[in-house]
Amino acid sequence: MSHEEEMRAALATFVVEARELLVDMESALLGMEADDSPELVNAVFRAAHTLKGSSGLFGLNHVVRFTHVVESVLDRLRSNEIPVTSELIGVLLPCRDHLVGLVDAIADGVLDEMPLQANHADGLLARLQPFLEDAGGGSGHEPREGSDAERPDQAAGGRRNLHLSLRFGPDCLRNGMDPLSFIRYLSTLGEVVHLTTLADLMPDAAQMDPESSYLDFEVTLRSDAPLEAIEGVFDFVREESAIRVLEADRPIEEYVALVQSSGLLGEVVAGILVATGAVPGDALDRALYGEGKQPAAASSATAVDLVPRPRSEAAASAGPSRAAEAKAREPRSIRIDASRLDRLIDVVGELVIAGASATLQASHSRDEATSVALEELMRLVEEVRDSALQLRMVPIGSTFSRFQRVVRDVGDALGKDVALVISGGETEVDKALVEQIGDPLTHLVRNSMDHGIEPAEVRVARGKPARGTLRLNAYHDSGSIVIEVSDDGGGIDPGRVLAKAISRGLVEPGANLGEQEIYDLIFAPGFSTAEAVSDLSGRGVGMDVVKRNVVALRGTIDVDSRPGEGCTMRIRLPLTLAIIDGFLVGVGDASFVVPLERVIECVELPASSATRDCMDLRGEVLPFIRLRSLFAISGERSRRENVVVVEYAGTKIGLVVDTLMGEFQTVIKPLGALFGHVQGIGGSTILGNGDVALIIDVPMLVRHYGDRYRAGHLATPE
Amino acid sequence: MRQVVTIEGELTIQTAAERKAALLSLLESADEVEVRLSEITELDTAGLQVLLLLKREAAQLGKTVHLTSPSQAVSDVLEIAHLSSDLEPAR
Repeated sequence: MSHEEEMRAALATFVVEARELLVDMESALLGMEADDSPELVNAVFRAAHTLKGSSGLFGLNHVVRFTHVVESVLDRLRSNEIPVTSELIGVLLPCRDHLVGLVDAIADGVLDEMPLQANHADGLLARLQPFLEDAGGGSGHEPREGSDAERPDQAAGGRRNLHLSLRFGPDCLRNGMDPLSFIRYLSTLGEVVHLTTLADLMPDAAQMDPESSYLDFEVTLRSDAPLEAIEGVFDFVREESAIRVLEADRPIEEYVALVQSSGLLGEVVAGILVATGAVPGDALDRALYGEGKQPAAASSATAVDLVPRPRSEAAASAGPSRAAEAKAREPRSIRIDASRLDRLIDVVGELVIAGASATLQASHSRDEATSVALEELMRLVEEVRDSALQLRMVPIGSTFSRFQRVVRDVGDALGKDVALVISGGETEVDKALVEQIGDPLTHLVRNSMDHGIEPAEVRVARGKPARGTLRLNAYHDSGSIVIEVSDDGGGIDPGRVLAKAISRGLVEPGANLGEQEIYDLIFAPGFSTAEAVSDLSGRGVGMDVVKRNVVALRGTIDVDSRPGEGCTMRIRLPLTLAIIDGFLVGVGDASFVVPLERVIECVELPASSATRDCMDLRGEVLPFIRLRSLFAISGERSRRENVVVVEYAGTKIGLVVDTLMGEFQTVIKPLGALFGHVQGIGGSTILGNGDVALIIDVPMLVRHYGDRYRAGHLATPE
Repeated sequence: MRQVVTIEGELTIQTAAERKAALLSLLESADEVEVRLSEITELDTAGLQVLLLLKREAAQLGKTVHLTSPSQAVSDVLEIAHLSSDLEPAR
């Protein structure tokens, strides 16, 4: 391995570990508000400290610099010099997010700090500053000055901040000079610490000439290049443009002149000068407006003003105990590349098929000894298969705990106080599913918080606790995993849903729909019952996407609503995607596999039902589908036909086949894109004798055909 | 009414005039427009101006424009201009 390759491999490990540390950090931070045990503070501190150390090894100085300040704050927290407050957590969480961003960039090969990141880091460090100073004096200080003094790179001589005010002439673009390319070039001379793009002088659409240049830029450049060099950048456009470059610490009059010459932009520019720390706000105000006048520009300097939040007592009661539990267990684990695991599963799948083939050969040759030996072999192969599949299973809890943060952030944005209660986190599910279920869950959680849980006043008026509760629950149910998102909000009002659906043209007025069918309407594209379009949801683009994603995972989603009491969204997904126990059946010359977990029983088709589409199953009406006609299989109908009774999500249907061939282990081979549109088939598999059998997609058939037979109101469900 | 469009190819001074007209005309028929930026191969100041103009016009008409899935070319420009993917000043 070359040195470069070694470095790359080591860096990949760093990224993986850093991400894990940051996940730990987040869950500990979220737990801290509710639980002030030193354990959690220590956990956050350790994570920051380890991250700083390993970043240093890789020369990732910007990460070290930033983490160092975070660590200093955490150290004061650890030694009880400052208390845990919502404000502090509110600053530390975005700091943690910033680190995630830095690590992501490193994963993408960006090892140096980008100007945008530096800008962001400065803002965050300024917010941390009050917590580094003595508790009494923190608030009144100018944040940037302090944070700059803290920055280790400040010591490097020759570098200073310059303020650039760039007003490009209207004809720049037409002359082939792109203003953005000048700014791009500037970043080669130093670090663009701040940059504001101003479109304020762009006229209305009718007057706006797309080939004229309207954008203005205010830039803070940190550079050691001489003033002439920086001004020289703009030589090509100097004549037609107004370019001003001011070095730091110029007399206040020069800044005043800049503001006054900026015309309509004057106030904006003054705000930027103060916000970037080019001039102190009060001094600029005095110079501009005279003593004792209203400060116009000062506001933006302290844009980040945290509103104190009531301290949430039991905030996420599941959070801290989970984190502590995870700490206590400290599972011993090794990291495996997911693609190696997939390869293993694939080979095990082939092994199962080859084993089945060998068993078949042995039974044909009537070689007793070989058959016995093979039986034992197959037992072991099955065990290997089960363990291999087990490797892919992960508890869903780690996905759930991510929602502590989502609930907190969304709650803040909506001004709602919501507790998240997690249960069933230990339920295991295929890794591939876990990865893909995150987005739909996020949609559902946001939707519940936005539309489900009422504002506190309404809740109190309805006699509920002011604080809303959102539950995430998971459990196994007959070969499926069920994930529930419930809230204790107002529930779904079927009348409103129906009215909206009619007004949106989704349903004919006067249609007679059952309650469940009405709830299903919320998953229709373009449907939204939100009275006001809010930031988070209510654009009617969420729920249909949720449904599409769930269906793509061979799952279903349904709604259980109790008006006034709350609502539960229930997602049902298959446990795994790779291998299933199947039941092999034959129709004519073709073979089909029905997933065994769906099979209830097998009965002979009664002669009385031979010409009908349903039969009497011990007093129950059982609709059935003839696989022969469904898949257009030629040949005469068999004299004796059998019915395989299958069930999905509470609905039973029968599949009419010629022969029953028994249980059969099978590896799902996905069908090619060519067959993507074929309905009712979930994949294919290879039989021991080399033939191909198609795997029946039971949920799809039940949904599609089961509904039709019920005295339904909706003719076609999809 | 919601509409989704994808801008393909370059969004530069070469194409700004026709893009401006096409994008603004969407606001006449739709209340909500999603503009996918994933297929943009080149973006310059003229192109950026068109996007900013579209956002501003929409806001004035009480409509919504979402700019989504920026391509690398777009992300690069947004980073230089310190703008978020929705053309708000980045923090």
